[in-house]
Amino acid sequence: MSSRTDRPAGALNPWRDLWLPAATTAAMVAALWLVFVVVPSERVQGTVQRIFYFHVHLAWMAFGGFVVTAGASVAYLARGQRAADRLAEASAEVGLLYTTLVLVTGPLWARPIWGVWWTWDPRLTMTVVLWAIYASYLMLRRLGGRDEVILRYAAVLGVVGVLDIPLLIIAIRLWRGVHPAVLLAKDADAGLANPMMVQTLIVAGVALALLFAWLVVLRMQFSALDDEVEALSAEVAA
Amino acid sequence: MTGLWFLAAAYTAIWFAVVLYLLGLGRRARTLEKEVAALRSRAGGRD
Amino acid sequence: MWVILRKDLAIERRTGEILSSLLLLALLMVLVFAFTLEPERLRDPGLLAGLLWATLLFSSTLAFGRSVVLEREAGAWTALAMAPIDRGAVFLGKVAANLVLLLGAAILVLPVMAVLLGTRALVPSALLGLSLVLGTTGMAAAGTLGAALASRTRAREVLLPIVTFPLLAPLLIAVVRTTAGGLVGTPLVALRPWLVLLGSFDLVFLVVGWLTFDHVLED
Repeated sequence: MSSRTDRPAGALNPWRDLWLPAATTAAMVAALWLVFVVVPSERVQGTVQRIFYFHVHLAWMAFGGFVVTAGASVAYLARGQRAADRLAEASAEVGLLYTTLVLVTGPLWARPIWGVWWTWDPRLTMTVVLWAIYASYLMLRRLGGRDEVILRYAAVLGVVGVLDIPLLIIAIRLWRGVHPAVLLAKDADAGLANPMMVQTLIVAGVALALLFAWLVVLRMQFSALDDEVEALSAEVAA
Repeated sequence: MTGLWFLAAAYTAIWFAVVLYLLGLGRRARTLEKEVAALRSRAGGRD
Repeated sequence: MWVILRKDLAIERRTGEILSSLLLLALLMVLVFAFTLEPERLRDPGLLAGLLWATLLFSSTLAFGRSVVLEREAGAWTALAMAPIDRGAVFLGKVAANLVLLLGAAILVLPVMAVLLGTRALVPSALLGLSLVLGTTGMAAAGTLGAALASRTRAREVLLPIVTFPLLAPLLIAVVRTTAGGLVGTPLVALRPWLVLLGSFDLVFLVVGWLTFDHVLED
């Protein structure tokens, strides 16, 4: 840490700082163009159904983000690498962003179609609890500071949180019955009949996955910078 | 027509949130970078 | 593990601090429900089950938080970490002590609640007993883990329920169903999937807590 020229956190990396953002932007523009201009409106639901192309991926990636957080947490507990902890935190934060967006776009889709903003349908219930678990994980990190013990506690919570999910799914299924076939029936009968719809869905998926990855990378870079500040102030104080 | 309103609202929300997140992260990162620079010069000054 | 259990219970016997506050709080919750939700509407056994578990949930977070804070204040946490025993056993011992308190509170609070709210049907049954045991076990396991995780932060009193409530969601959904069934005398087999779910929840949290307490206690 003595050299003034080495800047691990701020150094430019072509893959990370150029290609990833560029690919994300390109995929996003393509996805938006497909969603708004190219793809035909779905027969039963009309224009509103276009929310679906982003909404579904946001939901799945929110789940995926949680799995990444749990995996990275296990790695951190096992080997104690700072990078694993940064990945866990970044993935949880971007996951919370995605989950929030699921909860915002969901009601905006449900209102015109089902006539209500919210129902206690299994998937909605699930998403809301998932949001709460993510939020509590990040809250623990925020209130706990960057103490090494807290990082370990957060990792334990990350693991416990993901183990809670299967139990939650079973509980909610038993409680509210199987998903009231709204989505399934629609998909089977009119839904994605048009091949253009499938392509749009795929492109939107790629775009949102790239966005997720880019945001996670940015967030990890930020943590690294934060660590550097910490290390430097310790050095100055010494 | 209302369908269009809900559609616009949903995608606006997505973009608003993502851009806000990016801006927030960028702003915090700049503050930290300044701090790094300040600390570096202090550490350097003492050498 | 038994040593920890005996030690915690011995402290509790001497002070009675946690159990008495648990009971008082539960009683106050009954009053709160009666005032806010029109007592006449609360006669339904299904509602009694819901209110019982809501009461236990709120009371338990306060009690469990207290039990970890007591250890930290006495500096016993570090001693526990250094003691030549398996840390997993420390966790199980703590859970057992919390379980005894919580189950005791549940058994005392349930009839009081039923009487005060004038619940129509109250059939003591095997299903009811099983629900109480499985429910409080899961709550004790998740609550003990949550209390330990929250204990090192600022505002831990706030953080403890924030951490444990979402994790307890599956348990709550299940245990309220089985308790309500137990109160009205539903045959046990009818609620089997719920009981299996409760059992799995308890098992998952006991095992995970037992495995991860190694990392939690290590400071």
